[in-house]
Amino acid sequence: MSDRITAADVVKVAKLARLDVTPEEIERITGQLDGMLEHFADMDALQLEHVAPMTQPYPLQNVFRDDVVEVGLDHDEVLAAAPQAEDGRFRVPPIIGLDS
Amino acid sequence: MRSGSLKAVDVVEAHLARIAAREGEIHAFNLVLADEARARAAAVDAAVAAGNDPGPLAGVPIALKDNMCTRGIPTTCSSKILAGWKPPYDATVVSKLAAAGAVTIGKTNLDEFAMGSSTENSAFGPTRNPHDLSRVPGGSSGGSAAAVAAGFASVGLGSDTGGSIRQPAALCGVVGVKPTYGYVSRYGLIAFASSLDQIGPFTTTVYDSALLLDVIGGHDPMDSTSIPVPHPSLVQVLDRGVEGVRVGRITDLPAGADPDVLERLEAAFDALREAGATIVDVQVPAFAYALTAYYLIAPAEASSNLARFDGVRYGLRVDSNDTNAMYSATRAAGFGDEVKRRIMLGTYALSAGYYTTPTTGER
Repeated sequence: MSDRITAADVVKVAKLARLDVTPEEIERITGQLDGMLEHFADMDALQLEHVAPMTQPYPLQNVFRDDVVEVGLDHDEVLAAAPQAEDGRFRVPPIIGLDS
Repeated sequence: MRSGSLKAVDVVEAHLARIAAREGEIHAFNLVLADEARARAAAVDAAVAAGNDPGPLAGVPIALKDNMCTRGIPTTCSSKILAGWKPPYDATVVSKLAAAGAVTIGKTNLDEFAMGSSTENSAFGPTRNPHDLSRVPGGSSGGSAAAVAAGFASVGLGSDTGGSIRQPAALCGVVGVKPTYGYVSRYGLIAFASSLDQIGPFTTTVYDSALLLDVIGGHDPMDSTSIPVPHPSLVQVLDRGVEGVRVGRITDLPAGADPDVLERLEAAFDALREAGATIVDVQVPAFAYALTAYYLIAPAEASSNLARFDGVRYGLRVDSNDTNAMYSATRAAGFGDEVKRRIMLGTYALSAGYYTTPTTGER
């Protein structure tokens, strides 16, 4: 097993990614991520202390449109495409109040 | 077509006949829109008969990669997680094509969520290369490339994040262009890696690509990264030639390219030189790190973009007794292995230095 990434790391990342994983998947993904991290090692070796971080390459600024009412998506059409809807809203399982 | 000597309905029928003959062995499409295409073609013919301008792409059958939203028509990204979903709006490119008179003939297969290079990685089965069924068409836009190469559609649209138009175009022997980022609106293109994704054409001639880009290009208030300046018509500048144009010839390309490909690249430089262009050798040392950077940036953006597929607003839901369990079960059942792998890689990259706070715990 690798020293770069462990099965426990993979379980934690899967939780963050909201992805149920089977024991077989944990083993496979651990190996795959390890391979990718090895690939990233050449980038880690770069001397970048004096390079200013660049969050994005385009000189973009936030854009505001005029504050006028425009036609949006059709409410019924949007809800019709949802797995479950009720009273004009998306229906989901309970979010709070459960122990597990 | 505009003169009325060629009927749009006949053009559509000819393409549908080719689809009927060979689609079974090629599988370029997730969905063939035969009835819709016939109706659209009839409308184009009616516009011509009435003396109206039917648009620059009047009656042209087009194949759309199935990651572009079409209102009321299933859009799947070749993923089980979106199977059966009907978008409530059209992508900007879809609206622009319709206004130009184009006829959408089908939604084409892709590697799931455009993650792949062979179009084998689709929840609905692989697409085959029309020139040789034992070979892949490339990917991820392999369905659109194959559709144009097989004559199922006159032109096609794909999307390119890390080669997904250029590579299948090469493998299928058609013209493919990844436009400059921001040239074409991404509104309604289901995002893979937002800072890299661009929509572009598949055609049989360079002229057709220029024509298609003239139709689909331009600023769109719905995409804040689309370039907010008018672009000149590419069709207008096509016959200007390359006299006086300076072309960079990259001398430090990473090793591994096929000698045949490099030979053709040199032949292209020779042709450009003969046509009056100046070829200048340039070095791009950062290219050595391009693939590594891509495999950090694209999965990181993908893990964030694909968070929206959670069983709440569209597509598949695997029910459970609380929302977090529902999200995790839905995503486990809906995404294929390659998509999961990239989400995991991206989430890992984004969570480096992330510490779970005691108050929210692991959930």
